[in-house]
Amino acid sequence: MPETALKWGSMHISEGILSLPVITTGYALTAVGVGISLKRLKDKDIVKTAVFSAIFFIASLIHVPLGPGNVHLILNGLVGLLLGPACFCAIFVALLLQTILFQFGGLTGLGVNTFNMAMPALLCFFLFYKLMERNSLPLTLVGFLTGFISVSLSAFLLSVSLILSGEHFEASAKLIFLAHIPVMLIDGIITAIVLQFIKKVKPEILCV
Amino acid sequence: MRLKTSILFLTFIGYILTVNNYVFAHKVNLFCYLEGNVLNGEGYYSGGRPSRKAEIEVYSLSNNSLIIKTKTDDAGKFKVSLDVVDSFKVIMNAGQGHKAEFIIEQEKNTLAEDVEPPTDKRMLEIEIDRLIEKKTKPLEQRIRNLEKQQSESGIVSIVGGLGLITGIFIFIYLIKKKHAF
Repeated sequence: MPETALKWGSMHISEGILSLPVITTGYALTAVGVGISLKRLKDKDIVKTAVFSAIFFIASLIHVPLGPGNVHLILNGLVGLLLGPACFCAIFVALLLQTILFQFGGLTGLGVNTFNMAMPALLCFFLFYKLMERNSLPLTLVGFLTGFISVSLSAFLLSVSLILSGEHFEASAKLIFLAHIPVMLIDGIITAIVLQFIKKVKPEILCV
Repeated sequence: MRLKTSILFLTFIGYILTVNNYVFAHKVNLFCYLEGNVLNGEGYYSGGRPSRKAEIEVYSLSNNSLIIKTKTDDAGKFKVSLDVVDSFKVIMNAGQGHKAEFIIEQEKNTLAEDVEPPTDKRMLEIEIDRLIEKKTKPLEQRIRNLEKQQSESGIVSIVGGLGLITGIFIFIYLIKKKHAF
């Protein structure tokens, strides 16, 4: 995968990589997501959303050396599972600040990056929240699947964004999945541990 | 009531984090080097903005006496002639509490010109190594300072980012409350 497009194990797309239709579609979808998220955001959930936005902001900054490069935690699944639709708002704010303060990705790709992270997070909420609430599945398994699936779907959406931007990114897009397998596993394990921890110390956070 | 307390607490934390970020962002730096008997220096803020018209004072390290006083130009630079063979300290005062200092250590008699150059090849190599090390020492120090500054600015950006997240969500809370949507 070209160094300019993406860092190994990172999901931030740099400036000048995506085509205009992909950028526009990304912003349109993110605008809808953030709009709905803001409209449905209740007063009592604002503090929780801010805290999870901060967790998402920090998680991407912790780089762990692995193989030829380094990977970082994403934790979008955790944010989605515990915030529901508000995850769009939390992830957008965190990514916007990462772009401005650390030049992770570019402002043009912010819409696509937000959608690629928040949509899988929201899907994980719809897939696993009820199961977690009813105790139909062990919490550890819910956590692992949430972390694993959300990162897998984000990597898939990222690959699709690159392929739609130009055929020359096809090889890079295919490699993305391989590069993110360690991240999927690490995110799954960390999400499971965090959920167990929350259940012990503050179980009411598990309810959206 | 609990929500209001949480929002007030968040406002306080956001304020502290953002103010902390602002203070760090204006840290002033000084870099100096000797070129023969001429002391060259440059003062700049984090981010590279020059510190213009800042007061420069050079003190002897052995007896702490003031050797010379000058000011930086519009590019934040200064240049003064020095006839000292002692180590000295340069202090820059950019106003509003922004101070920076830079120490230049010199071996005594380094300016003496009547020293015979070594004739032995091995001794010459040692002498050249010593001179190169002496010349590159300030640069090494500058690189160390820049590395330190870079790691500090990373932490500062994280802290500032957390402050901004807090601020943005307080703003969202206030807007939602005003329009009640």
